[in-house]
Amino acid sequence: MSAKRQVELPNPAPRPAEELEELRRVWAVPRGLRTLTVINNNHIGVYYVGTAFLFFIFAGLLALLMRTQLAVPENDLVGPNLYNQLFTMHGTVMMFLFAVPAVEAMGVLLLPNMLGARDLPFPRLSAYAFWAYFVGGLVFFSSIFFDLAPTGGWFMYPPLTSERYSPGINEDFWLLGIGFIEISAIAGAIEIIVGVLRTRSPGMTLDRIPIFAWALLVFAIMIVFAFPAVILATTLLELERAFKWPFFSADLGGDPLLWQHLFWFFGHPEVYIIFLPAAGMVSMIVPTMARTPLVGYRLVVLALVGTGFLSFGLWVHHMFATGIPQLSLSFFSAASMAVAIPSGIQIFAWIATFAAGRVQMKTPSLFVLGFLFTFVLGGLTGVMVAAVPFNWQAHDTYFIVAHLHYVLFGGMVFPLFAAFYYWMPYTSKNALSERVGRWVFGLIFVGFNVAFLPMHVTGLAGMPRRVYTYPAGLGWDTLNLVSTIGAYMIAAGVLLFVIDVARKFRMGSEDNAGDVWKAGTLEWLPNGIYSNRSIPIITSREPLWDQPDLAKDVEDGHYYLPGAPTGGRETLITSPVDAKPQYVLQMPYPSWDHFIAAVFTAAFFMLLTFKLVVLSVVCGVIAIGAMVTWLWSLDPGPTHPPVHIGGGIRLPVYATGPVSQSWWAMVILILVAGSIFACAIFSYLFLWTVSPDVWPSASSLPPAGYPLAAAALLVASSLCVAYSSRALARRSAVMTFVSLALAVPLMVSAFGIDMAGLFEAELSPTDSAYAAAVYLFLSLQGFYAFVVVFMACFTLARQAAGKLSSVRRVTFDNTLLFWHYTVAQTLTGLALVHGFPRLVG
Amino acid sequence: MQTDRPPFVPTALRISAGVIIWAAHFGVIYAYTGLACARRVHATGVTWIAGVPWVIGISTAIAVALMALFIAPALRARGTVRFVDWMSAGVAALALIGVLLEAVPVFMVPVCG
Repeated sequence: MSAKRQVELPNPAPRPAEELEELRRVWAVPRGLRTLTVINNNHIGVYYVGTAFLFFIFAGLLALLMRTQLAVPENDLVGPNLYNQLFTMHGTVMMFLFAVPAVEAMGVLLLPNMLGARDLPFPRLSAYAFWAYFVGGLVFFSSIFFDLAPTGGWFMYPPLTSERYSPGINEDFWLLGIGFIEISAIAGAIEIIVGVLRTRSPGMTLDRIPIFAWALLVFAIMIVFAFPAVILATTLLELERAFKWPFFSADLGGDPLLWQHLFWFFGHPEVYIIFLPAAGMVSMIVPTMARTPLVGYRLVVLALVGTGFLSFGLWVHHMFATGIPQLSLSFFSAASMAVAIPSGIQIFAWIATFAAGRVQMKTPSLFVLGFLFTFVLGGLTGVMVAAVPFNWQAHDTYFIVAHLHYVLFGGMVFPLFAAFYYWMPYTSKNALSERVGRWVFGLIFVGFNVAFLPMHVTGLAGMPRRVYTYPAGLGWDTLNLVSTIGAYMIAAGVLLFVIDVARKFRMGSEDNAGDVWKAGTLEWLPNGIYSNRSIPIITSREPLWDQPDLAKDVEDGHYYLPGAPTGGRETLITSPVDAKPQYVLQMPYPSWDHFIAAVFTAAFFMLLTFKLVVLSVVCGVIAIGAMVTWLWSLDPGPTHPPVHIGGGIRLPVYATGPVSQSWWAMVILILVAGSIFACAIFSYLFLWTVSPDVWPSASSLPPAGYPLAAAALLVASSLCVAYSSRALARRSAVMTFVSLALAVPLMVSAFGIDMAGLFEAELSPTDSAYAAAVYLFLSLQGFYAFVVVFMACFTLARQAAGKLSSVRRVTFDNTLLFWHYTVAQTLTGLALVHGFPRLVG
Repeated sequence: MQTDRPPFVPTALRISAGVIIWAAHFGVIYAYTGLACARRVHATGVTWIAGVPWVIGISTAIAVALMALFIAPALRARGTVRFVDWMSAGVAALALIGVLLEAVPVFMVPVCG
């Protein structure tokens, strides 16, 4: 451990006794039915983790049913239709309802304390993300009890999942049903990015950020760029199924491979989206259990960043058997080899840290060792399947099932169990039982290897995946039986864990078991419902090891913001690189708005699945109404003069422009929108590449006057909004209102003119893949026009209500940013749709 | 109020420069190869496929040169390298390996197969 360091305390004098009581009062958790409105991270985080684990159990039970069916040849326990639903739901629930939410949940639970913040910057957004996931997830899962679960596998390839081959609503359940989880994941990602970059303790510069926070930052950025691909893919397939827009129908110029490209552009990074936070947890647990700082901190950060990016260059390695040019395959094969380097760096860093310290061989250490063993094996078979010739042999066999479970179970579930044991004392009054923990580890580790190691052989012996039964005498019988025995051992381990949690877990934000491991990072500071009593200044990566009186001084309120100077919930916003205090963020209280919005968002998607359009729209309107009420209560303006936080620092309690947390969230949302749009451009160009024959000649396009007029109107609308912004800064209320109001009809007219042009060209979206792609861009234009017009009306309403001024302008800035983005995106779309065919035709 | 000093966006771009170059290189070689194999012969009679080694070679040379710009300062520095500089160089070095690994198969594998 490094040398002891002293810090000059910002508030060295004893604090008034009533200060702590006030903190407790403002951060108090609602009781009774209003518990549903809670937004404190230490409560929502626990609900979130618990729900994710519940889905792990549900998906695990589906796996047990499958393994029971496959235990013996020619078994008739489960028929082919149910079996299809079982493996589809197992994969979907594990990936969408367990793995991603589980790591996001750990972030919500741990990040604020780990960073030294009072809470994440948008606590209602976290709560919204959780409730949408909870309600939507349970309804989605229950589809299997009504023979309505999807059957196309978790990656839902068309044409199998097209209306022709999969009629009914089972596949729609997947396509629309996971809409809520996409929204939930993106909401969580925005929260995490802004949280990690803007709410760190003073002194927590980039090179002192805990590795778990680095990992979650990379994870959240990956969600921003990866999830849009699956959002667009599901939209296209649903458009094809519901309205016969032939994106994937080869006879009309579509291509099923477009789905695979879009899906795996999300799906492969998804593996690392799951793995990186788990690796981040391991990087927190290993140094504590070895009682020494992590070896190679910089290399591990480098590995996280490198993996995050490189993982976007691997998607075609799921498509090696689709006939893509050989040289193209080799690019992805090479990238798959390259990504092994950063993974290797992390593994060596963990081994070196264990070797450098004195390891406490407790349950978290056992699960970390289990993870290392399992994940390395999965990584090695990953390199094998990255080699194209081997991949062709192993494709769609049980070898792949074994490989993916070694990577995902090894790379995510083992670390998560280590994390449960490690951080349980942080959130519970009791740690989990060490004795039971060893049994849990033993059963899961041995069970896992008994279940999945033989599957490599089963696959090499030729057994294809996703078959509901198999004939005897092919050499698969014993291997399958052994795998089933292993699956039941895993189940026994998980059951034992659940029993131990039921026995030991008692939620305790004020009286948790505390730092039983003698760890070095901030989440182990004494904390209450308000997180830390005061916000520390840190001088190293393991402040609890290097700043001897830190815990006592934080608890005594000697650091920043020891009370609630505005009389409400607050946290400190710091600069993103050097973590210097910038302003005090006034945070919201619990309310019903986000809860209602979340429940009805989930209901909107689910009812749409049942084609109950009217009811679905009603739910959508209620969800939007609740969101409007929620947003109306935000942007409080500078309601309080600047406050003293200690150390002679006086900070404002409101910020606008690029420094505000709201601006950051909007920019991230724009990145999400930009990624969706980039995927749409890719789809258009891909379809043109494979089917140039359905692209029209210049003479059959709408006359150029239409797109040019639409473009002029769009530019004019942006100029109006920009002028409105200047008028607001000049305090000219009338001109602010008039110019913003004028932008609305300009935007609507631009959409109308573009649509009229397509009608004049007599183009119907069902004609061909080209026509469908053109209407996709028109739909995007219409959707974004609707959103920005809605935002403008909201902003105008706030101005009319006296809630907008030259200093209180966060709402206006959000509208301004999104408006300009929408215009830029639409202009790009017009150039592509109207310019590209003229260019190549 | 403190402003963002050092500014965040340039810092983030510097750290990520290597992998952004890698992504651009990857996009160019993949898109061109895909198009070449889909179209085979251009309208003017020139084969797209013949251009593949050239596109890969030139884009790789440009990518390597750009990455060197981010790696060199860390190699020249004396004493402890600042975190941002170190990360920028490290990420670029990792991305460089990726670029080279992806370029090499052009010598070994038929373009369209």
